[in-house]
Amino acid sequence: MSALSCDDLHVTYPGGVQALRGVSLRVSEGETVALVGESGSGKTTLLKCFNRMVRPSGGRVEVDRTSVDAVAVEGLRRSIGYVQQDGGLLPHWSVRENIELVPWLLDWPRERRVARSRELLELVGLDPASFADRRPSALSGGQRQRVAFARALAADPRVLLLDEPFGALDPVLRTELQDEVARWQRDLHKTTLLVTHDMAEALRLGDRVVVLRDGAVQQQASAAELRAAPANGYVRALLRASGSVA
Amino acid sequence: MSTRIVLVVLLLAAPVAAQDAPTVVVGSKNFSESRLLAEIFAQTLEAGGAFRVDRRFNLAGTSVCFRALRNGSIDVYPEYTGTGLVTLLGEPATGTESEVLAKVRRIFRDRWDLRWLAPLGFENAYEVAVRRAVAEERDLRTIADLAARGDDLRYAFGYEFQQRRDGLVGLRAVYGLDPQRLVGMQQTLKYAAAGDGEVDVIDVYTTDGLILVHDLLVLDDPRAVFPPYSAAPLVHGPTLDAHPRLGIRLQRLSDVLDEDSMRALNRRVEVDGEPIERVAAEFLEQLGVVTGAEAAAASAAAGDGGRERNVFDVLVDERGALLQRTLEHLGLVFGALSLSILVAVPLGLVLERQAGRAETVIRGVGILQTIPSIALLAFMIPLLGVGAPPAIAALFLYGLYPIVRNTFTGVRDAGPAAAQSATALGMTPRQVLVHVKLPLAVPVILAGIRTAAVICVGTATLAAFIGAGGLGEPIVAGLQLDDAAIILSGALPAAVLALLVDGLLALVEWSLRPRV
Repeated sequence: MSALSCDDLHVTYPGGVQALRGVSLRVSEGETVALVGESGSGKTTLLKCFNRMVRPSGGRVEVDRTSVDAVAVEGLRRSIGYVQQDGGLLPHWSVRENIELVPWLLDWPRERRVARSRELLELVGLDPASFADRRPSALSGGQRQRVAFARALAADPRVLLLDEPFGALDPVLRTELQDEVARWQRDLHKTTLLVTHDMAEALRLGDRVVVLRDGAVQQQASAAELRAAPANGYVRALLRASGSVA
Repeated sequence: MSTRIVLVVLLLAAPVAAQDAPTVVVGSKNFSESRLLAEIFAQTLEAGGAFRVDRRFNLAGTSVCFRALRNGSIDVYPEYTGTGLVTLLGEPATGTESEVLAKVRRIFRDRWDLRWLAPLGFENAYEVAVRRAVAEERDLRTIADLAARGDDLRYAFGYEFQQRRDGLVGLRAVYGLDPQRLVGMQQTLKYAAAGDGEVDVIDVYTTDGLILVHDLLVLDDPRAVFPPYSAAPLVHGPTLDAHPRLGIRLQRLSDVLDEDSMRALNRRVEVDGEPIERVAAEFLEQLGVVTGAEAAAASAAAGDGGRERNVFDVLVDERGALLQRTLEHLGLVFGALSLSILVAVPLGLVLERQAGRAETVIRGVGILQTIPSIALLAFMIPLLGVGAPPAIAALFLYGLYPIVRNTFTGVRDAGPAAAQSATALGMTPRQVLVHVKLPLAVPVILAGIRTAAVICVGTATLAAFIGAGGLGEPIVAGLQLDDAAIILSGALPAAVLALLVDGLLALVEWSLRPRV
């Protein structure tokens, strides 16, 4: 059963740049798929087609077997968790208000929102008593990304879209947060699309890895298959650059 | 018993009658003779409580007064027949005094329903004057002499004079006068400049008291470029029809002033620095138009117009009037700025959603900024008359650009990462605007409002030119009297006001700034 799917997806940006050229992809319920490629490969564009932040010029995109065009766009987006590279927290809102963003949009009663944000702060390892009322500017980069994850999870979405969520972190912090996200994923089983330029991260977190180059899929396979049999020289080069093969 | 009741009724009725007296608006141009004559009109009308007078003095020049009179924003102002003939009708400067009067009377009545009442008796023509030393050195007696031997002298002419056919335009055409070094200068400043030997040739009015003071020689005009200029009340026709008593009253001023007596009155204002209210009141008391008590009241209201005051004396002496001016000024600024904010902030927000059209619209608003203030104020008169409304409208237009520009840019550039994530998590565009972009753009928007406010406080001083009051009043009056203390008594409070308004808005900005 695929929770996310797209068929023969084409995206052309104004100015004629072809970001995607006929991409097809299926993500099963609870599966984590890593989209990997260099910048300009189209991986973020592909991710954004699933919450309609990008409109394709051709092809079909489905979430939960329903076309994304068949539902109201805000409703679609509120049902999908989203984390971007720099966190994108609202700087003038407290940590708690940021986490409660989607529940607030969904008109949850206040007590339920407060309970939920407390629960999520604990999940991402931040003490609610100390962090709930801080502004994002009073957090470290790693803490901000934790809050961004908590915000993405707030309304318990079935799908998570993660766009380079560790991209702005230094290597030690990145590894630490990757481990935690892997742990949350084992508990929560969210259907997840993860965009990264780092093949090691993709192999580590992805049940499956999809390699994109110039808007076209080079290979999609499990981490083990990819390591064992890179489809072409480009995939092999990515593996080698990340130190994932000798 | 019944007598007593009648007395009580009369006592009660007297002030009621005064309150019921019709109000007429008296205007003047922005030089002292015009203001003095307008004050004489005003006190004549007020005598015995016949009329209540709203004074709109210091309007910026002939065309502003004339337009205000045509649309009924003012009811009467002192005008000169020659100006009516040449400047307002565009006719050649020919004819005797009575021919010119007959002609302007007929055409003004037919064309605009404006009535020339009986002339006051003196003529006040434009003339050209030269420093006596220069005139003797070059043997200059007429304007023809000046054209022949004086093109290289230093000229200072009023701005209006330079544009008038009965001014420099006519002098060029008729005498071939071609000044090589010409600067534009305000009336009283010209006299000061000539007195100091900074300039040699200036335009003057026959009745200026300052001609005597600065030892100038008035040149003859053998080829009659300057027509006869009899001063007379020019009245809005419908007002005269509604209140014939206005005409009867002003008729009492017929032929009461000759050139010498007018020059003497002007001298008291321009040279001795006496307030126009007192000069007018004493003149009218001698004439028997106002009672001694009325004259004393008018003079007392004017205060002591002594000449030797520094700016601090003026600030202290005139503190009541200055407070009034400051409140008027604040009213203009507050009214205009509120309107600017109400229009420009929503406009900036709308444009942010229509990025394609935004630059075009904002540039269009920016072009308003390039219209000179006086011109913009003058454009407003046919639409809104004189007084506060046109001033507020003009200041409102000047306030738009900084606010719309900062609102648009501020919102467009506010929190791009936050706006993207908020959108991706399901905020509607409206919610993104209200909850994310607008709060983050507040400091930039308020910076625009502060810019507009400071510009507005400064520009509002020009509102005095269209009778809107404010701190520009003492500035304009001081310019006419060439009295730096009076100018500063308006300019200093205006500067302080600008700082205060800016500081106040800084506090507002601080309190509204998003806590991040």
